[in-house]
Amino acid sequence: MSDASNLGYVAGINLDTDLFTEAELLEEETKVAQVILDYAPSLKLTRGGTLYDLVVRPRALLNAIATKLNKSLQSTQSLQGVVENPELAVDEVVDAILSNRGIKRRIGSKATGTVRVNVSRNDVYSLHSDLTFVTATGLVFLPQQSYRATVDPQNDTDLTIYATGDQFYFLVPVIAQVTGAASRLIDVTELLPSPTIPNLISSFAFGSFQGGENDETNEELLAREPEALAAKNHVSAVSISSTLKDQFTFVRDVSVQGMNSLGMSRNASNLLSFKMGGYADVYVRTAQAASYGQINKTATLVEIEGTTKATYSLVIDRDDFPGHFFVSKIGPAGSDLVSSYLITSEEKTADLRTDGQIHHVPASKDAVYTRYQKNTVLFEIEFDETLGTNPVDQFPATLAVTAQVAYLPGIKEIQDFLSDPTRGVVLSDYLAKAPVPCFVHLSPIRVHAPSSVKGEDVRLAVFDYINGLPFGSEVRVDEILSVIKAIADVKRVDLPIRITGDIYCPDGVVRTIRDDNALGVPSLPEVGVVPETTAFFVELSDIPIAMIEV
Amino acid sequence: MSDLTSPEVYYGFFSAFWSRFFGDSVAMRGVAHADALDLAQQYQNFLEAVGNLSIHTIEPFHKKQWLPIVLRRSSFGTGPDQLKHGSGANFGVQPADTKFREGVTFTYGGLEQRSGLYYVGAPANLQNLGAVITNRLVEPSVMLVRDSGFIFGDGIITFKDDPFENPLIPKREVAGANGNVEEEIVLWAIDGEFDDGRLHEQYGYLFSNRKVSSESYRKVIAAFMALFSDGPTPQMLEAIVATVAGQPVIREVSETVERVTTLGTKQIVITDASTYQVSTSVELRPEVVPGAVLLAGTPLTTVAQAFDYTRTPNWWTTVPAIAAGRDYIFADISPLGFVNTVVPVELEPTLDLLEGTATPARFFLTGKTEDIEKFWSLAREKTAAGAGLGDLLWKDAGLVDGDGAPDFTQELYINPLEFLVKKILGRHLIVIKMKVNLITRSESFLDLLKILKNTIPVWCSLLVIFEVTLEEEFAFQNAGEPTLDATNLVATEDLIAGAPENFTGAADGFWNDVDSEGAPVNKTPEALSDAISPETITTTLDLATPGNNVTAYGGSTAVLEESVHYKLTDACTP
Repeated sequence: MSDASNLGYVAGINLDTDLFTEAELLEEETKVAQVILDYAPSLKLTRGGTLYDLVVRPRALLNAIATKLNKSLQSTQSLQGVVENPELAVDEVVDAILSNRGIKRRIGSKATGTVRVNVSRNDVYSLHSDLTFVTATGLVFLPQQSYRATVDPQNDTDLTIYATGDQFYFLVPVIAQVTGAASRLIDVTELLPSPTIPNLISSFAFGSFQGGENDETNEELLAREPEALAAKNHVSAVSISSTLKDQFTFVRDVSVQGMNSLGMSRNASNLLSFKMGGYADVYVRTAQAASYGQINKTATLVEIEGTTKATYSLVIDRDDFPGHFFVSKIGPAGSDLVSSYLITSEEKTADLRTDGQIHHVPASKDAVYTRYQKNTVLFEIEFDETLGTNPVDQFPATLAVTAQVAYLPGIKEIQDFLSDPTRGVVLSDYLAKAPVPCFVHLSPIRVHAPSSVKGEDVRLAVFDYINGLPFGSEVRVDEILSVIKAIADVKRVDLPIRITGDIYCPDGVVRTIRDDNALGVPSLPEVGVVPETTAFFVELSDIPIAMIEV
Repeated sequence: MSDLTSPEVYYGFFSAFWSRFFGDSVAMRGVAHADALDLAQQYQNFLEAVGNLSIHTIEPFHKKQWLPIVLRRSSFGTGPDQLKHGSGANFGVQPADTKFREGVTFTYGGLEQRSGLYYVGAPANLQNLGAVITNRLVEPSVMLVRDSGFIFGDGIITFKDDPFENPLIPKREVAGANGNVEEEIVLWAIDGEFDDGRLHEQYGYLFSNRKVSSESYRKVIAAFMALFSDGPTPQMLEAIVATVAGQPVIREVSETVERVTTLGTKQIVITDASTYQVSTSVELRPEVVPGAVLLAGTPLTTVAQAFDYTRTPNWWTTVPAIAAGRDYIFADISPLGFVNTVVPVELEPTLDLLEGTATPARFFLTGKTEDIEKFWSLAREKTAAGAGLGDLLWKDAGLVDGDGAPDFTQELYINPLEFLVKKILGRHLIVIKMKVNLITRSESFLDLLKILKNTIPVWCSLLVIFEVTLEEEFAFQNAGEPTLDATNLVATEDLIAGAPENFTGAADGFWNDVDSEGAPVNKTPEALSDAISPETITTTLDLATPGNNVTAYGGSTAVLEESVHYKLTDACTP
């Protein structure tokens, strides 16, 4: 019988006097003794006496235990009760309670990424799927399938070997062995292959790993339990949130901006600027952190500036990473994007080709971070004199490029769901939007702790805290301290901790905010930025940790 | 099946040796009785656990069938708690007519001493006691009856007479806190009800952080759950605002009113299924008359009401004004008052636009002058050819020439509030109207507002109207010399209407024409003779200062927009 099914008590192990207080036991004893003395007043029934110990105390003890067990039973009837009773808070019990509300725990995901393997010889390397890459902290990653690395790739399972100086390297797509955010490796984290790869010089994370989320915690489940009561439709904010979380298990937070919400503006494009009914902007956070994806596109030459540089235009269409945040890198087609052309501007506009429902989007900013967003990116390429060609030859009218895009998944799918005529509400105009992102950077955090405390654990705790903040929150230094101090054996954390945030506003401007205590989103409804529309994101690489051994 | 909670039946389960031959069979009878009592308590606990399965059956409090009350000489008549801020105690000697004992000197860190002489502190979470307190559990010789032999309230049990002087109550000697020997007696109270937090633990946590249980709170939670699952139907809204306001609603699926009568200070509504009582100070709804069939959830009083335009299109006619701020207008402005009175529409110079001309217009609004100008300026900026506010209003009123063009030679008058409700917002407004002074319970009101915001359709807006009763007169006082001077009195009507010309000279000295930030407030006589300036009322009455609340909100109707409801709710909480 498991602890859970036995309410946490194991006979002979933990059925002890911690179940009740001395006062509770005394109250039970007083009652038993009183009744017996009411019948037989002459009995010597004093505490510590033989009769008392043999007759009164055992009864009192059993009653106190029975009362406690009953209380535990009552606690198991609600999630709050379970969470407040650590001995009951096992996943089996929590999941059983939540099944009554139709809620399922969100299962975590495995991190994915790319490992760069540097080798000394240009050879053909076979990488079997049972190969592992292991970090110094013991995190294990596996190739996504068996590969062959060669300078002459012939099929999808062949990896290209690149030359760099007198060395060579190839890039291996890997996936974490287990779910959880701990596997979101930071760029250049060292990994050792096992068994080793011939001619190996080094291997490390090529860019920060993505995905990798923990299972939903009991506290997170508790927070969304009220929504589970809501009618499953698209009428109210709570119903919309509940329905989306049911339908799309990766949805972590929802903020609905309705008729007179501060973050709603597209319903006020009338003569007197009154906010009218019929509209809702549904902001959805679909992942802990932003994902970075790549896409091959054709850029168009805009102009050549003499013999110095050329400007190209690249369009990220509404179906390319719908609702994406920004384009982070652009390089030659098929390149590894270690470096990027200089991106000079992005202009996000609306592409409202109808897909069954016509949305009211009076200004370009209203389409930003929706699936109707189209992004025109301008980037520059320097003229390379060493090639010995002239600018016209060096800058063709069209150019094949690979672009790296920061985005949250699922925005189009959620928009389709909201617009689905079999589910949507008649006359409603709902736009699904990715949150306005505020990318957070922290000043170095100095943590005093014994060597048993790993910097990765500290970084991960801060990562989970910031990326778990619901809409409308602040990033608070005291909370950062709390999550770090919650790690066993951490002795001290130095202040100050400076928090900086870059808000990628829908009007195209990146506004920077800073604070040493609590970083809150300013209220700028004219550009679509209010706390209820904006979410904080932080990358592991933006959480510098300095461990000071004590 | 035998009922083992009966001492005699339980005793009968012992073998004949114990009941017939054992020398101390009387003691064994006592043991059996003790076991039977405990079984009864465990059964009570079991029933409560079963009851927890539904919000409709959960008992808000855990009941102990027998509760020992232990009295010691040293602590009897003191305590139970350290004095708390706000308890009404005075430092030093206590005056008469307080809940504390007159003449007793309270010292810092000391315990409370109540007005009764013989009392003891009850456990902190004890909410209620049964009808009697006895000296024994079996065949008691002393029975103290509630409200005659003892009273319970405010966390203490107060006895009419000194239990230590009653020879029928056994006393024993125990070691005191200082090692001395002192007398102790144990009395037994029946049906002690304890707030063990179960209502919050089982259901309340879904909606609120409030952990204090009560039967009325259970009803509120049940109403919240119904609102979540059923959605904001008109009937549901009516029921929930009434419930939160502490007003009775029809309990059964359908009830027929049989009689409505008055008994003392209560109005009694008797139906074929239930009896309801409400204070005579509140107004029963017109439909609550003998013979009426009322459905479940129907409120009986007008203390709290919910409206929507489709069912009650004229709800606005009794409202003096509505303030619309950034929640309703997408502009960086403070609230503007749309007053319920007829005002002329003024035409502005015609605009020459690329596509043609347009004639803007404006009408009277209250609020900060700069914000009023900003509002109309924004309207001019957004004007399209042929679609100025003047063009639209004149055409809408049918004031057109033979070609169908607006005939600006004719004058036009509109009611700004009627315009706001009928032409702009009305069909998307859910209106809740509460008579603040008559609400018997308001602690759940903020929870309600939060929940309503999340459960109403997202294309709708929530407008909360507080009806408050004001004093007839207010006195202006110098903050440094708070003395009452009749020459400083102003009529409430003049204050609300902002008619300083009616003030006495002394009172006028306290009055100024700027708001709390020094910005000019539009208080022209023609503007305010019939209406309220929301800006005026919120700034001059200083809602944030608790001391002002009693006089500030106490006669006529005031309407303020939702954004100030928190201040109002705090101000009006009894």
